[in-house]
Amino acid sequence: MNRETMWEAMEHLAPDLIEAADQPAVTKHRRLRGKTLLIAAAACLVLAVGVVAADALFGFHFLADDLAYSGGHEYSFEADLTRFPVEQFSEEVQNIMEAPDPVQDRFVFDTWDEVLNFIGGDIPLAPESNALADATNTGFHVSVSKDATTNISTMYTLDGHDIIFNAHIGGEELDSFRVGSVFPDENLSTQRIETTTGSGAGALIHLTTGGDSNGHCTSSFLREGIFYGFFITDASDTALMEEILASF
Amino acid sequence: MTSDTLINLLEQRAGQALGELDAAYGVYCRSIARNILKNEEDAEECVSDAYLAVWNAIPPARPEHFKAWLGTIVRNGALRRKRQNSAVDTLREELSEALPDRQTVVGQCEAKALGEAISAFLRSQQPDVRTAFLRRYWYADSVEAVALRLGWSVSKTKSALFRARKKLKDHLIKEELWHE
Repeated sequence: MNRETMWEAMEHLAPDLIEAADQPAVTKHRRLRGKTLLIAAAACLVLAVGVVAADALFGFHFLADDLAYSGGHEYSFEADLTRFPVEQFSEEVQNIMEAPDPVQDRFVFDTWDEVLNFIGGDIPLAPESNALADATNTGFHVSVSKDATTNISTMYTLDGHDIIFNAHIGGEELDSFRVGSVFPDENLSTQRIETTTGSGAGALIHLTTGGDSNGHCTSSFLREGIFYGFFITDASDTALMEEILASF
Repeated sequence: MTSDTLINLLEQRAGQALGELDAAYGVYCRSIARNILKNEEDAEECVSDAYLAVWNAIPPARPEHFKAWLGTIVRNGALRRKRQNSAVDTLREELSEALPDRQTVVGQCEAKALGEAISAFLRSQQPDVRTAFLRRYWYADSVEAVALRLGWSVSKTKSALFRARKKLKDHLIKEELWHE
């Protein structure tokens, strides 16, 4: 047998295993606050408390801002998320939030419309980006945290780029929501670009280049009190990010 | 719509059967095709070919595990279209790490028997590891997508897949399906 046969052997796996691997993830008693950012963990970190807020821009209060730091680059900011009352969420989400001991708080949906229905019509989630519609290959992962945020994350593939998307909806008891990046690599360079989305929301783009990789690009913006973030894993310029933002 | 209802429609040669098939499994099929082909147009053609294959196969076929059966048709069709695709080559290379060079399988073990051995190995693994392995090597998800699905970091996912491949190699050697 050779490698080809090994690969072909994968075509003969038990069908129940194949179907089970496509089931939506269900997690018990699991707090996913911050965990939907995991893919972007290398670039987006929820940073430690204790830094004094400084400048504010587009609803983001900068906690650390040192893009020129020798030996690394760092920025972090706290976002002004709206704390939506539990009553504004769908009945299903309310039941999860109000359960004394939630048994399920993580779901996967195929389409953005299904996500909107699940979250509830009184939460002003933006329509799906025209540029990204139907480009997800992972489905939309939604986690409901009883007292903090409801997080939506997915990965899109567009023009050969993997694009990670996150949206965070603040709950009544949300303390603070912080986003930032630290790159402990002196060969990297990070550039910040201020722009606006298609609907006029102020957005921050951070483009990091240098080192051995082709670089990557992140963006953050608030729209009607909800945080949206994108992370393009392989980007040497901001063109694709700007195209995406223009469709929001 | 359940798979049984869908199969009944196909058996009746009902006009709406393919529409219902697409409504129920279109996202699933396109996800597999896109993962492998990395091209929207090719993926769409691949899914259309799969639907035609389903139409031609049922009846007489009545697959017990319809979703996996359909997924296999899409996957095989996509792999045929993309034999030279570098993404597929990468997956093959990664998976074959379980079987280093200069190793040969004793007794001309057929792919089907090896598939059964891999299935048995996967059943012995933790559910998350099993899912990670199947998402990566059957559904052709990217490592990042596997991480997203499981709520793992990318590095943890890579590490888990590496360990799973190593364990698989040990399992196949122990089962005397492979030896150096």
